[in-house]
Amino acid sequence: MIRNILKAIYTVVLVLVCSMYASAQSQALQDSLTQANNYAKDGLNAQAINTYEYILSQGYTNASVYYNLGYAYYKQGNLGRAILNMERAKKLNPNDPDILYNLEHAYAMTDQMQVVEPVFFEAWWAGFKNILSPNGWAVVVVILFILALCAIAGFLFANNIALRKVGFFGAMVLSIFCIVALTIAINKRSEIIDSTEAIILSSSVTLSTSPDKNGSEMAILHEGTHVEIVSLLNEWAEVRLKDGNVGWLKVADFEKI
Amino acid sequence: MMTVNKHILRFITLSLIFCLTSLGLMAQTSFTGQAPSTVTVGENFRVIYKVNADVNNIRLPELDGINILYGPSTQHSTSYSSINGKVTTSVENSFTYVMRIDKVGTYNIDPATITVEGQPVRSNAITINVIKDASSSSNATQGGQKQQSQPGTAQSSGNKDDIIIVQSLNKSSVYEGEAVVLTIKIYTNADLNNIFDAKEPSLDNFVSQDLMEDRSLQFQLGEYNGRTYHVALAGRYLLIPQKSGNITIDPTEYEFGVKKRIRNGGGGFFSGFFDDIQIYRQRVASKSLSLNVKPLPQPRPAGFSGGVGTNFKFNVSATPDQVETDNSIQVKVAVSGEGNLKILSLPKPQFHQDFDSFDPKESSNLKAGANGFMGSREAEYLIIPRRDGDFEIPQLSFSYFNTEQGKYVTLTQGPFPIHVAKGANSGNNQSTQVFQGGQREQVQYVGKDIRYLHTNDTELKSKDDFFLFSGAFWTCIFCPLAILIACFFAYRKKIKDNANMMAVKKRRANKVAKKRLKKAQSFITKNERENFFDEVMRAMWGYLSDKLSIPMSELTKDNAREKMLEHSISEADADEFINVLDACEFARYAPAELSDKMEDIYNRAADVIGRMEK
Repeated sequence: MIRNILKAIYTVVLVLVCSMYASAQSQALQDSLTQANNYAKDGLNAQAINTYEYILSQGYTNASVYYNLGYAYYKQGNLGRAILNMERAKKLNPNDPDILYNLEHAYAMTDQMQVVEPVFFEAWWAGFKNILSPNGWAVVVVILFILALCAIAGFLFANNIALRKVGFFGAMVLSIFCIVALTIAINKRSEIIDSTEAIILSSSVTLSTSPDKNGSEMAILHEGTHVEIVSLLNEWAEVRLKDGNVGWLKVADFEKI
Repeated sequence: MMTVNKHILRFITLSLIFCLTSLGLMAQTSFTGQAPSTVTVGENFRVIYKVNADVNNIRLPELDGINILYGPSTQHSTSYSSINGKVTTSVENSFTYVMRIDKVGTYNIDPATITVEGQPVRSNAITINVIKDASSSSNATQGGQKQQSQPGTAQSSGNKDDIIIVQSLNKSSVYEGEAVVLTIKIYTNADLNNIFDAKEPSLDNFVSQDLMEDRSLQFQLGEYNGRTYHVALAGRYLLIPQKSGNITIDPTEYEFGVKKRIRNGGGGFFSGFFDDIQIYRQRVASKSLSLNVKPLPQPRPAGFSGGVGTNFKFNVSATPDQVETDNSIQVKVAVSGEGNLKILSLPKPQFHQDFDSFDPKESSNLKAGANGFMGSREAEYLIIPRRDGDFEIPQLSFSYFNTEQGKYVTLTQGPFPIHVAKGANSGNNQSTQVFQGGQREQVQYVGKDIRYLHTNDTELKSKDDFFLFSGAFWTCIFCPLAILIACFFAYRKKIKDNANMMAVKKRRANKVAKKRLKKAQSFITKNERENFFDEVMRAMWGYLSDKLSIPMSELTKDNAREKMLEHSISEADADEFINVLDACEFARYAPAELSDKMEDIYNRAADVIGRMEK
């Protein structure tokens, strides 16, 4: 119920924002998007990929663009880029069942490793953050803020003592919630602007123990493997695999989500 | 032919022996030289001299154009045998030379000489024919030569060591899956007795089929490398390569038992009858073969299931095409032609889920031939429709690689529409099935793929377009905040104003009360009791309301005392105030005699207001 209301508000805000930014250029890109979707429907994956990539290069996107681009790459047999774009779609729209299904399906074709189970509250927290998209959380921040203001108003203006008490504690609780939501929103925004997650795109790469050619081989990784970037050193990146192992990869071999 | 030859040979041998024995000389000493009658240029060959006496002083004649590479190597053996109680000792020395001739031609090696008990003994002369190096599978026999022979056999049939095994393929280059025939032949002039050991190549990379029904060796005369041999077919295999690349077929190796006639030392007139036939073993190997297997071209069509060959025919039938539910339909999938029919897989038809289908019954009628398997293969499916309606067995396609045309050919059949009418009992069955519960099938997922595109057009957004910290975001934050702050200040001002008003009222309370009381006083003089008490009560209530800043409507006699005490008015004054009010109320309705005098009330009221004002 509350999610629906939030979604409705979110949609209204989105439409407002979008109509504010609507311009001739975005209209042309909108046409390109329709064209790209038609290419993809007709199975012309190469053309579809080109057109989607063009739209992205113009600085425009949404979850569907990434989703369809990932689909086209998958159909073309490019597993790494398919996963990369599906992951990007998931960031913008964390709860879309199609995106989640396709990601699971694609990951099943990559290297399988023993995933380190996160502590329950970490998993819970990550799941909680994924309930809404980054903009969804921003809307929640606004709504909580307004509710907190209402509570403060109740506290200030009510004649009735009970009402004023409710207002006071309500304002406290809502403020805390608001700060939590704000933290999540900022966190999700930075995840998109500067991601620490990456997908391996080279068909086969060597995970090295040190950032130079002399490092011994730890493992051979294949296209589509998900890694977390720990640190960067020149053309090397220290990455953590899903099974918890840490090693070094060439920056050219992967792309940030 | 052979037997005639043998007869002649035997005759010559017999007569020769007869001569020798009748001469009675040198019967004890035999000295023979052996060499292959034909060698190729540059080939190493052996010349062996054997003598049945204990000597070691062999002298070779001058050899013109013949190189001695090695020799002589001597072998000495002594054997004792007891035949019919007579013990004979035989001694044998052999001298082996390895020689080579580098020019084509006919070479004679003059008799070699040894000295036995002071007498020189000469061997036979040897003639060697040197030919050009031909395609040379005859070389293969060289390695296998090993002899252990008895003296006195120089006269036995000419090229007794010549056993050649030849492997051949009918094609040198084929496509993966294309049939090729491997033939193994034995060429020989030796008198073969039996085969002790046969090692045929392991045909691991092929599907192979033996094309021979009768494995016994049937010798016929034939020619090989310009020479006449007895030829027998030792094996014929149909091979279907299973991988591409250069495939090597290992040599075939046989160990033959070769019959050899041996003269008994002394001999006699009838020695031919008493000749021993000895069998010695000889191991011969063929050369290995290599076959170039070309991979099938890419891309392969969708319906390709491994078929390679020619003249393939594809036939699918579904009968009958109109049935009632629970009656069976027969679907036949048949492929016929010539090629690797035995190993290709037949296309599998897809049946609607409402059809029960059973594992197919497969049958084949194949004959192996030089171009692979000929004939047909068939799979027969039995399907039973469980629900009525119009169904379709989808189009079925079969692709094969045509080796004649060098390209893929796709054959299609169908689709086959099938009309299923409701059977007589099916209505009842349906309802019982539903209630039996267990009859319902779980949905079968045939193939899983990623989910389809999101095809509805969605609004594009700028990549950096975040609602958080955007203009709209700050607007949404600051507008309500500003409204709240504005409200707060407005509220504060209103409170302040109210407070001011009350202060004024408080200040004016005494004045108003006095004014009212003055008016009441005027009623005393006029002796209007009711108006007087009304006026006093109004004055007192009005005073209290202004004094305590409580609206008149909220004041009652019940809460007045409390409120007064809250506003730090002494208990005595509060009580007096209430008492005066009670007195007024009472006096208003009571007869004049019973009530207090108007002057008393007036004074008390004025007193209590005055006290409260201090």
